[in-house]
Amino acid sequence: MTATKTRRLEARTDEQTEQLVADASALLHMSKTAFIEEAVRTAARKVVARADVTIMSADVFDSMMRAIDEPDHSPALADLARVPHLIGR
Amino acid sequence: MSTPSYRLAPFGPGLDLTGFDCGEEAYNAWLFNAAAQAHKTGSAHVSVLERDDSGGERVVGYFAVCPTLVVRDQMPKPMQRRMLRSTPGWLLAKLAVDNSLRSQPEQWGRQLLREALLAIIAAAERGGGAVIVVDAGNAGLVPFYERNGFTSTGGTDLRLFMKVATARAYLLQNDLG
Repeated sequence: MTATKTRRLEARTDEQTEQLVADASALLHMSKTAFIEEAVRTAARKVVARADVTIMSADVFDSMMRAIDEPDHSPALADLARVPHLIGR
Repeated sequence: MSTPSYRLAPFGPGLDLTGFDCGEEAYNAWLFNAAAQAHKTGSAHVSVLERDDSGGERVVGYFAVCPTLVVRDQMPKPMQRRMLRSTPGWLLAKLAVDNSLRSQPEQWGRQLLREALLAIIAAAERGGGAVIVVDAGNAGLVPFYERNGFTSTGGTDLRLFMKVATARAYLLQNDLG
């Protein structure tokens, strides 16, 4: 990516972490800035890729949240529990 | 010929995916092309069902689980500050079995679904999340999930849900005998 860099990110850190970043970036022949930028971008993309949203109707959501820790009555799950167990681990 | 055995394993290198066909091209393609990347990047946790017979081990089913945020729809702005708007959950994003396991008395699809629910219950114990969501993928699969305890989210897509508490109450109790 070659977008114009007009923004600044600052972070406080301890001496050990700074030295670790310096060592790692030197091993890769990268500047510390380039190394940190790449690492942060990779981590951020991972989080965004993981994000998934489920939209639930207001009625269903409110009803669910009123007793979120209480099991519902479910004959279907009782039946699923009785299916043969043939899968090992 | 010995009776084949079946086991659940995490997705990884060296799996024999040869010939896997669940009858849905999108689900086949996801296993062949996207599962490895999803597992590697951590965007989903993929588990496979392997059949071990005299010809070796072969993948005959899989499921993929990832976190999801369950969001309340149609929240009028003045109410947004006072009410809970979302809660974390787990999404069963994919679940498929090979055609060879379809319509068998062993009910392999339901067995694999139960394994997926147990995996989510375990994940919820470690990482929180009180809702299990499933993406049925196509309308034809909605009745399958309804028959197994899921109900509609009331949204416009093909997602259904159950509480982790409900799954735990029925499936763990049974597992403990």
